[in-house]
Amino acid sequence: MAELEITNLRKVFGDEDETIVAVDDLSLDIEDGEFVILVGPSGCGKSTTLRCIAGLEEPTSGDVRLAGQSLLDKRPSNRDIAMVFQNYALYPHMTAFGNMAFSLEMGTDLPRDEIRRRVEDAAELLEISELLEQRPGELSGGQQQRVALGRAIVREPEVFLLDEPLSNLDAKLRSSMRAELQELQNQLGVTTIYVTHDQTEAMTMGDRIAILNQGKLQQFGTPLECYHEPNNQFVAGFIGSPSMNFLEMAYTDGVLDNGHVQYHAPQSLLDHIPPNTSNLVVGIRPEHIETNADPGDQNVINVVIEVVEPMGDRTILYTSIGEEPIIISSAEEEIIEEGSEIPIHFPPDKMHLFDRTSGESLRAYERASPLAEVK
Amino acid sequence: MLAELQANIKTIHARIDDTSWDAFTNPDSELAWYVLVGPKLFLFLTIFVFPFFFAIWMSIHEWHMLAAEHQFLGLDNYTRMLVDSRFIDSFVNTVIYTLGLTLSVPIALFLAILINKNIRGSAFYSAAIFVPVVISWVVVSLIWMWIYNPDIGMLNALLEAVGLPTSQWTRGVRTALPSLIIIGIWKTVGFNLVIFLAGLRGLPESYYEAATVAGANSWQKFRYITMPLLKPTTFFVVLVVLITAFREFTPMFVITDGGPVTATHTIVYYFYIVGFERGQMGYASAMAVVLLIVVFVISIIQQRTWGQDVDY
Amino acid sequence: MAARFNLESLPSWRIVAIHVILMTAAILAIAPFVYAFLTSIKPSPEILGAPLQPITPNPTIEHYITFWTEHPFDRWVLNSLILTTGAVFASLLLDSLAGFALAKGEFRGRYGIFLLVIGTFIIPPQAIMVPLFVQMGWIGWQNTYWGIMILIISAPFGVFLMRQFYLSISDSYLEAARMAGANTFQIYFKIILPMGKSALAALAIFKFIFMWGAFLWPLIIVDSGAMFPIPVGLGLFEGQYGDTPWGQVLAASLLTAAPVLVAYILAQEAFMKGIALQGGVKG
Repeated sequence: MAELEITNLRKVFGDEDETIVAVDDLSLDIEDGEFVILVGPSGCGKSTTLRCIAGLEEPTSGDVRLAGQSLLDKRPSNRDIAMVFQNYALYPHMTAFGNMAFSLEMGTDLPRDEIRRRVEDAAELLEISELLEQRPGELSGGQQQRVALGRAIVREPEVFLLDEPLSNLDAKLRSSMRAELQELQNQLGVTTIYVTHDQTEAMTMGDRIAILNQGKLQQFGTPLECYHEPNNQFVAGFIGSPSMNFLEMAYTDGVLDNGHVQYHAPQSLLDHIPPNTSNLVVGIRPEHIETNADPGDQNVINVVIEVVEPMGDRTILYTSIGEEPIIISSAEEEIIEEGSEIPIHFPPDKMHLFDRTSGESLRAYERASPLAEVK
Repeated sequence: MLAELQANIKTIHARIDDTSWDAFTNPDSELAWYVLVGPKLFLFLTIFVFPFFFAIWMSIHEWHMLAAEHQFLGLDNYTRMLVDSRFIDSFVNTVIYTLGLTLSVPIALFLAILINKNIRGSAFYSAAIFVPVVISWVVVSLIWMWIYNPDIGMLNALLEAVGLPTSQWTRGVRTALPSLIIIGIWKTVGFNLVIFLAGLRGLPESYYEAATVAGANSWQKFRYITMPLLKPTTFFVVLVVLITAFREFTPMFVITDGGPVTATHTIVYYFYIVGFERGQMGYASAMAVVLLIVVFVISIIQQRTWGQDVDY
Repeated sequence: MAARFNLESLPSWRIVAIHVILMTAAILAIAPFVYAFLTSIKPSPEILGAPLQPITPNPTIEHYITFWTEHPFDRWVLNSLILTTGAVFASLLLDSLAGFALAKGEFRGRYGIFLLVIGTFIIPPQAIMVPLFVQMGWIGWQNTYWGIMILIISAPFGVFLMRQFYLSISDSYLEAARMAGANTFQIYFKIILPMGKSALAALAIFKFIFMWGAFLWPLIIVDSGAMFPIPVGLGLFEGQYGDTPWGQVLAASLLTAAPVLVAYILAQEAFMKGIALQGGVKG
């Protein structure tokens, strides 16, 4: 069993004059064999977290435990953890074989033929057997990537750490490597933590994703949970492309109003609004806005389409409500002209409500209410 | 409960394993870094830093090479320089020589711009112009000594052949220093050229393309793009030329022996004569301190007047 | 991106003019050596009588033979070889070790030591030669190989250069090695040293040229002919005669320049890089 527990991890950089909190009270329980994605904008602390797990940084406080044992007192090489670096860090003066064998030669007393066997096995698994005698300079980006993976695999670690491993590849290679990495992880069954800022990788690759912002954990759940039930406005805006539309609205007596449109909230929505709330943010994903509403219906908004971007399978429409830009991703095949006015509708079950000051999702309010518990 | 205890014991064992490692092999140990930097640091301290202070100390003493006792003189060695006409000559000559060598900077810049136009043979031209840089000063001095020889040297023979007046070159009181300046320029151009070329190659091509589109001619491109962007490089080249020229010794020693009379005495030449031929090491140290101050001041002035926005 | 100029935009007369100027500069740079060589194989009467005649009808190597047999030139060559080899290897080792520590190490005093490196840059070596000479006397290093080499080995330039180079190596290489279980010394020997080959080569050339051509310090510290490196032997040899034997002077000069010239022709790029490093480091 090799579950990895990160408890109240905190990492502060800097001296007395100026400190930067890179990771702030982060706790994650990662199960054995799980593929977890750490995702967030740059500077959110995801790489620092990874480096604390690897032992390349010393946490300011908190603990990292593998199979119940704290890793903090151990050296990086004794942690049973292998890491793949963003730039691969393949030694240019060693062959692919030398690179893959290096950590076994340095960190273990394995006999030579055992090292050879392990490297060759990993090479076979990664389909790079014929490249073993080449140096990194002679390999393509994708091949280097495989050697870097091989270097991690030969150590047969309990945990893989991958730091944006696909960011140096071109788009086509990246998407094929995504699938391959997933399959590889499945096959090896090794607990994996994968850092990325790319939300496609986050959505498609992991069992669960941990979304970080400014050192704080925003949400830890399956990709679909994060998509459908974002904890807060940050997660809602970060996951999904194009990202969610937000409208600041005032709430009085069942009506949401932003000065340009009024929305009569149905009961299903009202359930989520705590008493005494007057200001909130309404979120709706571009792909959830309906463009074929009946102009006569309640809550239908007439908007002028400013720009139309046909993508083939769907069409991206740019419009605005008042000052706020609204993006619509429509699956309708009917062609919409730029400058035309269309009626749009926000289906209430697809609407997200956030507290305007804290940014927290109000749907959590319902789950926390006594009513929800009964349910 | 038991599992927890076992885990604790394991942690303790792991900790012992880790910390009992030899401090030399522990990657977190600072000691290893001190071992790496130590030898060089020791040399800095003994070969540069200590002598630096020792020189100042010697300069305020009468310190003869063979004497056992060294009398304290205060600033006498320094005031002595002011009335020592050979030192004053040396100082003036050094300044003239140094300023003369800065002529190598525009020559090098001009050649670098031509080479950077990438006509066929550019690599050959720059390689050839660089040859004098790699050849040692003694060899260069001996060869030029022969070239300048008024009786059998090729320079006078050449001038005679085309009907121009000949010269005493290094043997003439007026011509000796300029003759050495010519050698200095000849030997320095290649170095400056290579640095300018590196600077020019680092300039973004897009600036020139944009200027071409805007209708700029070559002079305008040079004036408004190359010159400002090359300022840090020029700054550095001038600094290196000034500092190295200011301490020149070999050609004065080998070719002219400081002469005729004091025509090619330079600070370092006179310093050598005083310190190691006459053995007056206290006085020589005072000159060394002056040399140090001048070199330091050159760097500062350079920084202040030209290098304000130079980031290095 | 290199700022390269469009060839098509240059009219052909300008290309010709550029060739003429550059060719002149190249000839001026090389001609003294070529002419020195052509003269060194002339018999003495021709050297004195016909300085302009380019090719002698009676080529001879008598000056080379006379010089070599009448002076301990082979001893000077041996001295210079020992000195350059020693100085180059000692510098490479010490400078790469210290450069590595200053670029990648985490230890107290690192910044202070780096400031010291920068500070010693400003000290002209000539300024410390008198006290250093006295110090060498204290430890009996006057007139020894160690005494001659020490100044070149101690120069701060190499540390600065190697540090700059190692700074450009991504930390992830060292981190990967640390995760593999390598200690600081293993990282130095297995990662840092091989990855820094190009910088080491440039530094080696730089130190080689400086040691091979060093004149003032060896002149000061050496007092016996048997310890002379070539430049000192040559520099003093010329002054021994009232009537300079020019054939021998030129022959000896060319013999001294030959190894450097050959090495330069074989590895021009590396040489230019090596010497221009001085500029690249700061500029």
